Parts: sequence; structure tokens; C-alpha cells
Amino acid sequence: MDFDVKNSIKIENFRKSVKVWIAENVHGSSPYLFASLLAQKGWLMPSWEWRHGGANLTLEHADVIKNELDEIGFINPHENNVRIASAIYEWGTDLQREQICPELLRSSKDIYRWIFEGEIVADPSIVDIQGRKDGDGYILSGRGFFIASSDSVKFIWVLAVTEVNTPSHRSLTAFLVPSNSEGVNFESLESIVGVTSKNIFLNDVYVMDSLRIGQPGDGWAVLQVAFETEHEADRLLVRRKMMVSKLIDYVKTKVKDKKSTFVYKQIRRKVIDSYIDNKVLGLLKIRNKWIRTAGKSITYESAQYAAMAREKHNKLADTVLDAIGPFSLITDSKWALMDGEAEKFQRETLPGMGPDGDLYTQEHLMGNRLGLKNNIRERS
Amino acid sequence: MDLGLTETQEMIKSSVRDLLDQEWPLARTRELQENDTGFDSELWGKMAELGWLGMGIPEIYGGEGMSLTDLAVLHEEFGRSCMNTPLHGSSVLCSLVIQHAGSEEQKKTLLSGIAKGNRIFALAFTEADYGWNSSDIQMKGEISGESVTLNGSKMFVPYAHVADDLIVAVRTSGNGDDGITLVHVPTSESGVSIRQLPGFTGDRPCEVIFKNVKVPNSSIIGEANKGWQSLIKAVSESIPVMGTFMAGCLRAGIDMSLEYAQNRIAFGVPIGSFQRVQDWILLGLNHADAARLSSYEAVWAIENDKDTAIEATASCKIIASEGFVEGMDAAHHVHGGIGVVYSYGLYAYMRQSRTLFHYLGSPEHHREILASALEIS
Repeated sequence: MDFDVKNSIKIENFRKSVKVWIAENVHGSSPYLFASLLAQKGWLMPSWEWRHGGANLTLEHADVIKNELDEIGFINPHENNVRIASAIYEWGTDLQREQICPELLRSSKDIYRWIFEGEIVADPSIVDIQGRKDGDGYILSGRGFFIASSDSVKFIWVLAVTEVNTPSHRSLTAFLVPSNSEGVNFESLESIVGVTSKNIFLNDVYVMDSLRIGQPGDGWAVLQVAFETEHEADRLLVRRKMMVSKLIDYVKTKVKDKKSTFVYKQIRRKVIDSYIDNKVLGLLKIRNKWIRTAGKSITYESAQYAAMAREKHNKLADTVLDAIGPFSLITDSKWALMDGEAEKFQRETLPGMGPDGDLYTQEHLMGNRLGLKNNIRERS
Repeated sequence: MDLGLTETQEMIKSSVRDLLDQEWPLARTRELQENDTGFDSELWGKMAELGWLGMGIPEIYGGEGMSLTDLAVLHEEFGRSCMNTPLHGSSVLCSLVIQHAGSEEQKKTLLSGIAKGNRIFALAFTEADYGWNSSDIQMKGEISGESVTLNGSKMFVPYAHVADDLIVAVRTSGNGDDGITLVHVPTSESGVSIRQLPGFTGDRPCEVIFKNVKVPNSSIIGEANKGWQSLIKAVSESIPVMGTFMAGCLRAGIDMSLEYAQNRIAFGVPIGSFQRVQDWILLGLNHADAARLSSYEAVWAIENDKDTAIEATASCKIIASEGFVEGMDAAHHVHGGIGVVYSYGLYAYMRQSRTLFHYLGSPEHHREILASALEIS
């Protein structure tokens, strides 16, 4: 075995050029502006062909770009577009791939995923948006909810019950609904995470069949592709490494010799466990990368990594709170610690923040991959 | 990066699996575990014949000269069958002590005996004040003239009751890392008495009492008073190999749980469809994967002289020890009552998870090592 992640000189040179490009373009720009620069280069999905919104690069090159973006802690404000593009790439028609994927990946606006009740991947039976065939399209009605980072939205990602007398996981169909369609209404809700939540009401909304993704009844499987990415887990790991490193420094300088031995040892133990969690997550990441590059099949491993990243992130936030105390909760310029990162960390680890589903969603995927429910292992 | 096994390692894996599945199925393993000695000389002979006992011993000393990773693969498969044998203690731990500290003569005679299966070694390290630091070695050894005299006792020495030879870590001076001497003592030596410790344990731990045991100075392995470095090096290298054994055990326990959950029907459906049941299986699987990956990573770090080897080794023992216990708890939650039935076999994995929790250093012991490596000790 070899756990060293080595790159060829060619790839290392590419890494250097990516680093330079990022340094030149990220400084001072908003995440939206930076995302649009990445989109122009096809770097949101670099290994795809240009006609699909990619940059015609190899997986190795794509990995370099992703790692470098993770290193600077970049969060794509239009990550949902990438996820939906992934689902369309897998399930859409050739025409949809060529027309919609480039638009999604080069867009400077969100095209939101919409997950009713937030738990649809765990339980398709809770969807109550109804769809019925109407000529060349469908009529959709019902209510949904999503969290998003901006008010502008071109399409809404909708799953509706279109198939009757079938098991719930075969009853759903996926659609992209233009948000300016007649019968679509939004209601804004404030959230604690600095982005906007919305209620959406669909009232007899007509959607063309050409905006259906996958076959009728494939909706649940289509949605799972959108969750089957490790971007969020990778990003969390980068954030974790930064936070654990800061915590170790904090423990060395601010806790040791200043608190009782008992308190110091308690805190130190938690910090060490956070370090171990990082190690495990890093190993899962390497394993998954190896599975892909070796041409083997991913089954439960992707969801495992995503689930564990979420679970451990909450645990780390608890450790930060324990180690730093109430100072981890304030942004005050005089007293906030770690340049405000401690407070930011408390908020960003809240369940439900991850754009590719919560812990239970990913665990549910894992269970399906293992064939726990019915002895049939779902394909990844 | 390549996390795959080599062709040779795949062969080791399949040959171990085949042999254990065909000749030592779970029923026979259970029988073996419950007999008086927990040891099967027929199996031991077969293991010697297949070269497994000398796998990690250099060819010039009669072994196969294979790598630590090869040994890890072998142990992972033994773990899957929960096959308790003196393999790790003799062919890994004691073999490494001799390789690191022994004289040329000792290597020639002792290592070839281990490889051939003629001699089973056990390491007598821990004592009544249990621990894996140098300060935990308090049993006295007195070097005088041409001999060493041992008095005292060692605790939790796995398979000492079937061992031919012991490597005994004794304090011959001082109180820290210096002053520890490693002494080779045949179990047949006058004054050595060995008693199995009964209870819920898998590796047949023994109490070994030394009463005026006198052996010649030539029995000292390495330099007198300077045994600690070789000893701890051998222990450290053997930890991730044991980690793969633990990972193999846990994975087997989780596979049993998975199969049980798919086939056990309650309320008209497989219990695997209940999310609370799924949670236990996923928890166990997470621990098994983490234990396996971290153990192999530590083996790789050791073999490649990586700066991270100490951290990797400490981490893997923490992950494997805690994950094995928690993972087997999860397996029992899935199984309910059937899990405690002897003939079903799950209990053997559970028992092993408890037995190995402290062996080669508890998680807390390794957290101290990690704290030191991270400079927060």
C-alpha cells in the first residue's frame, strides 16, 4: 500500500499555475464574482467537456483545482447549480445536457434545489407536491421550502408525485420549473445562517415535458445523484484542519498552566480526539479517491465520508465551545478569538447547513447502498 | 497512492481465508476457544508449513522475509475468523524484539525456531500495576557474575501457558527508560510458574511467576539496562499489525449484523429496514473502516520511515481499540438475544474487543503519546 498522494511534475506545475491564478483573482473579490470567474473557465466541473460546461481537463487536473479551492476555503455560492448539473448529466437527455448543464455551470445565479421538508432522500413518501400529465407537459401543485443564498432564481428544482399506485420511491418525477411561471409564489423567511429561506407555493403550475429530468418515476433516484458528491465533506475537512490547528495552538498557550490540570486534561483529550477525527476523515477521502482512480465501484463509501464529515463537524464545534468558552460565541472586535473563526464555526456546523443533505440523509444513502432494507444493494 | 493489495498479498489473503473457512470454520474455532488451552497444535503446524509463522522473519534466519504489510494482511484475515492464536505475540512481537535487539547467535537460533513453529514465544511485559510505559516495568532482575536472577510476576501475558519461551522485561537498574533488560527465559526453567487467568478474555492471558529463576547472561537480549528502545520499537511496529486483526474481527462482526438484519423478520419486514437498526450497523462499519485504514496507514508510515509514524501508530491503536469495542456493542444491539448464544459465535468477537482494548497500550496511553507528538503533553 502507498498512502502518499504524489503527483507528476506536469500536474505539480499545473497546481502552481492554479495557485497563481487563484491568488490573482480571489483577492478582494466577492465569492459571487470569484465563482463567475471560475465558471467562465469551466472550473466548476473541470473534467467535463466544454459543451457541457466543463474545461476538458483530466480528473487529475480537476482534483488539483478542487484541492486548491478547498485550501483557500472557497465555498461556491452556486454549489446547487453544480449538483443539479450532476443530476442532469447523469439522468438528462443529450439535449438537456448540452443546453442546461452549461447554463448551470456558467451561471452567476442560483438555480435552486428544492427539497420538501428537507428529508426527501430519507423518505420519498413525504412529498405532497402533486403532478398530473397535461398534454405535452405537467400541472404541479403544492408547497415547498428551501434555503438559499440569494433571491434571484431562474428555475426551481421540484419533485412531484406523478405516478399513482406505485411504491413511494417510484412515484416521483423531477422537474426544473421556471420560477417566473404562472402560479409560482415565494414567501421569504429569515434564517440564523445569513441566507434566505423561502416557502414556495405552486398553484396549478404548467411545466413543459422538456424540463422533466429522467423518466416519470425516476425522481427519487435523480435526486440522489445530487447528494452523491463529496464536495461538502472535502470543504468541511479543510475547515476542520484549520480549526484543529488553531485549537492546538490555543490549548498550548491559553489553557495549559492557566487552568487546573483536570480541566486542561479534559480539554486536551477533546482536542486530540478532534485530531483523530481529522485523520479518519482524511483517510476516507484518500480511500474514495483511490477507489475512483483504480476504476473500482463506489458503493456506500461516498455517503459514509459525507455523513461522518457532518457528524464530526458538530462534535468539533462542541470542542471549540468547551475549550474556548463563551468567547467562541462572540464577534466583538476586542474579544473575539481566532479572528472570528471560532464564532463562525459555531454557526456553520449547524445541522442542515450542508447543501448535500444532512447526516441522516447520507446515512440513509449508506444503508441503501448496503442493501439493509431489502437485501438489494443500490448502485451508486 | 495505491491502497490496493499486491498480487502476493491477495494470495496471502485468499489462502488464509480458504484455509480458515475450510478447515477451521467458526464452529471449530469456537470449540478451540473454549477448550483448556485455546491452542490447536495441528493448526499451528499447518501455519508453520504455510510459512505464516516466519512471514516477518528475514530469510537468513529461516523466515519468509516478507513485509509488515504482508503480516498485516495475514492478521486481518485471522481477525475475520476471530482466530485466536499466539501468532501475533510470537511471530510478530517477540520476533521483532529479537530482530531489533538480539545478537546474531540469538537471531539464528531463536528466530528460526519461531519460523519453523518449534518454539512459541510470549512477551512478558505488563505487571499487576498494569501499563505500557517503561515506568510500569518494576519486576526486578539481578545481574550478577555470569547470570541473571528474576523474581516477581508478570500479568496478562497472552498464551504463556503454551509458550516454550518468554522474553521478560525486567528492571535491572534505575526507574525510567534506562535500566530495563530483556531476558530470554524458557518456560521450562526452574522457578517459572504459569497460570491462565480465567474470565471473559480471548487471548488466554496468564500470570507468570518467577521465583529465583536463574538464567545465564547470554540470555540477555541486547544490552543489559538498554532494552527499552528495542522493546518499544517492537511494540510500536506490532501495534498496527494488531490493528488490522482488530479491524478484521470488527468487520466480520458487522458483516454478521448486516446479514442478520437483512434476514431477520419483525413486523413483516427485515429489521434492517428500521432506521434505528441501520444506525448501529453504520456505526460499526464506520469504526471498522476507520480501524482498517488507520492501521494500514500506520504500517505504511513505519515501513517507509515517515515522520508521522509515531502519530499514526498511536492514532491507529486509539481508533482500533475504541472502535472495536463500540462496533461490537453495536453488533450486539442489532442481534439482541441471539448475540449472546455460544453457538452463534458473535460473542467471540465481542470478547476479543474487550481483550485487546488495553493490550499494547490503552487508548488513554496512546492519547498521551499523541499529545506529546502534538506538543500538548
